[in-house]
Amino acid sequence: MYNNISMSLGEIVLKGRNRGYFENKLNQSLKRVIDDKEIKIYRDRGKVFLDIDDNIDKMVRKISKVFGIVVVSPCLKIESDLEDIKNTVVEYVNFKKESRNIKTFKIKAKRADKTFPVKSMDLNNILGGEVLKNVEDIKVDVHNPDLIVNVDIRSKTYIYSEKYQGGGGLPIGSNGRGLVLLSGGIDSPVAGYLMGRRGVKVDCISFHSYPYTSIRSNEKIKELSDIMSVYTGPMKVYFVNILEIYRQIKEKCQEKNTTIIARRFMMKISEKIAQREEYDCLVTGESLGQVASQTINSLRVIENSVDIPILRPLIGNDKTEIIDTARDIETYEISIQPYDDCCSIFSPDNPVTRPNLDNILEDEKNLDVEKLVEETIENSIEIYNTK
Amino acid sequence: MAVYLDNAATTKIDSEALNKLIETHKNNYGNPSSLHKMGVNSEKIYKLNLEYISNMINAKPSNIIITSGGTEGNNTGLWQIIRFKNKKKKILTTKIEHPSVTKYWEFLKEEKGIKVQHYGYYNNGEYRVDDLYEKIDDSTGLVTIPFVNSEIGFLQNIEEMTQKIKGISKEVLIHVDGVQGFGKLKIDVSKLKIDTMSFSSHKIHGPKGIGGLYIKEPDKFVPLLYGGGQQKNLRSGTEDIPSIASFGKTCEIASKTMDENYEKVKRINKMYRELLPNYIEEVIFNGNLEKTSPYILNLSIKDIKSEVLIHFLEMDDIYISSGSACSSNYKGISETYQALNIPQNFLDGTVRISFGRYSNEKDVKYVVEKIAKHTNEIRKMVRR
Repeated sequence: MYNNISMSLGEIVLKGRNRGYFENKLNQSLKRVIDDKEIKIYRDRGKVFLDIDDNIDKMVRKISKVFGIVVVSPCLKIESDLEDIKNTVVEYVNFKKESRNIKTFKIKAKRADKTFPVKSMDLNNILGGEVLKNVEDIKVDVHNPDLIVNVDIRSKTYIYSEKYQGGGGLPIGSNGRGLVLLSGGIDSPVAGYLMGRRGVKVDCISFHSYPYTSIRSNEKIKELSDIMSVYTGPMKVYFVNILEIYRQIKEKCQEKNTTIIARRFMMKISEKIAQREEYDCLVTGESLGQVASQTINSLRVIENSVDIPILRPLIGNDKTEIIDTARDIETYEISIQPYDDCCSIFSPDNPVTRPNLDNILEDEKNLDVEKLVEETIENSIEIYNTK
Repeated sequence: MAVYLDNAATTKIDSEALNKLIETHKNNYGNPSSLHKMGVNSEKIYKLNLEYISNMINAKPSNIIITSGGTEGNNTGLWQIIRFKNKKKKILTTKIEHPSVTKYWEFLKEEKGIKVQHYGYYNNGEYRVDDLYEKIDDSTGLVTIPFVNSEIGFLQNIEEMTQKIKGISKEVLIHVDGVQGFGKLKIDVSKLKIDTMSFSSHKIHGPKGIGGLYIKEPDKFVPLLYGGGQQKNLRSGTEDIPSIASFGKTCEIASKTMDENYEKVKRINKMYRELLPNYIEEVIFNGNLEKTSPYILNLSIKDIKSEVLIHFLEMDDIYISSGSACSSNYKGISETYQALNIPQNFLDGTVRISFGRYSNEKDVKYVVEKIAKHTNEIRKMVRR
């Protein structure tokens, strides 16, 4: 019965003069998921709509993952003409009664177009009366109805009852570009997803130490990024092999500092790539105190290695909360597959939990840091484009 | 060219067998149960190849069912304990079985109240089974024998074992997991008192997804699958004629080349055992060559991680395995390795090198040198 999909925008409506910019970004996201040039997206007084006849459920599901959209509803679009509206509402209620047991209803009319001659309250009464007169075995219940018929009057009129949650947040690309340090664990895909939801156009970087890690763990990263891209749009994943760095740390630095120094290298490499490829920030899945390299001291010492904003959207989250989100976005099952990631083989038995910056800097003097960073990128970078 | 040394996991298909597979898919796709001529032709192919397959172990075609592979064969073999209703509920089994045996008795224990007792122990390079016979009692319904263990290659003397078991009790069923021995070592079921024996095609350069089960007494057999009554009601499901034709061809080739391959593989196995210790310090061979199948060589190298060695070797296009490919998906150490008591600093460095028809002597030195080179490299990183 439906012939249209309506979408309500979230925070974009608060954006005042910048609103056009945000709407533009949203349009790009929508075009990508709709993936059909025949389908036109248009605006009607603050809301976004598209005309569509087939596979509406599938399209609603796709759109529900788009950032910047708060509510998405399949709806029936008709002319804003009172007689038309009356007839269609009756038809709509009858149609709904066919598929499920509906005993009570309520009309919820809203006039975004104030030039429409009948006021919302009056419309509720008129349309309610029509339904009572023409539909059998139904009563009005304004508090807890089986069916709410929304009648949304704009330049056209939209009738709907189902409301699905959208991706929320801000449209992808409306808040700069970020590089997510993707480890293959549970946290980093969630961090990337959350920053994507705040409008950051994200790509990923992943470190490995093949042949000390498996080809399968890179395949796992690819699978994770493919799932993330359902939300974030197509992404690049930069794979960087840091085996030589581990080798030199092992040879020239104190064992207990291995993890911290390696993390500092990962940051420096990421920063270097961010500078070259114009990313505005790095994004990590760190959560305060989760492991030795995520104590507040460690974070400070790691952060000190670079001069680029590091966004850590999970810093205050409990593991269980992170897992819940990972399940929601369907990265969890892949993240828990047990391939060694590049941390586990080289982790020291007793890592420092309160690293001292001077001490670490002193230890790093044994390495040619700049050269190592350059050579590592030069020799090993591989790029994967998500499906 | 790849040096593929993971033949206990699976093998490269023989080109004649592959041609047979494709050819039959193209030309003989009829269902052997169909009444028309195409059905009849398919049935002919089935009968002819069932003969090649049964000849491999000197069985009659009427004593063989075609299965989806080793796992189905082992499950079905153990399932035969059902023949005793509830009168005999004990299975005797070893600690070095394939998961398709272990996981199935775990299921029988849970669902059918079957009791399980282990026999056998590791001693000085072999898996000894002399404690089996005292454990056979009135409640014993079935004994499983791993002819060739898939991880270390431990070999059992089935002839002697079956004689002794049936000497104690004629009623006890004997199931042999023959997957790692079939087509590689001589098996003559007419001389053995085996009730069921599983085997598989893809371990001997045949197509994947097909195997079989030898059944001594088909009239007493309890099927695992029911349906259209194919294979004389013993195993329902439309026969995969192309795979059967290909498997038949595989068996034909295997029976011709078995002795020659056995000798070659034994030579290769010996070469590794002699050469490796010259190149690497602190390596132990698990299992004595005389008490294991020469097709499998298992060894532990001190202070390395076997997965890392495997990745290093794959860069040289050399393929070996860490433990059994089927059990490496589970975390933790398999029972086989626990039984061996390998020292902790050797255990992580345990690898399996397994041979096939395409293995040859000239690769040995190359592989040994690569293993030695990578071992030194890995030790630098892992040793503290």
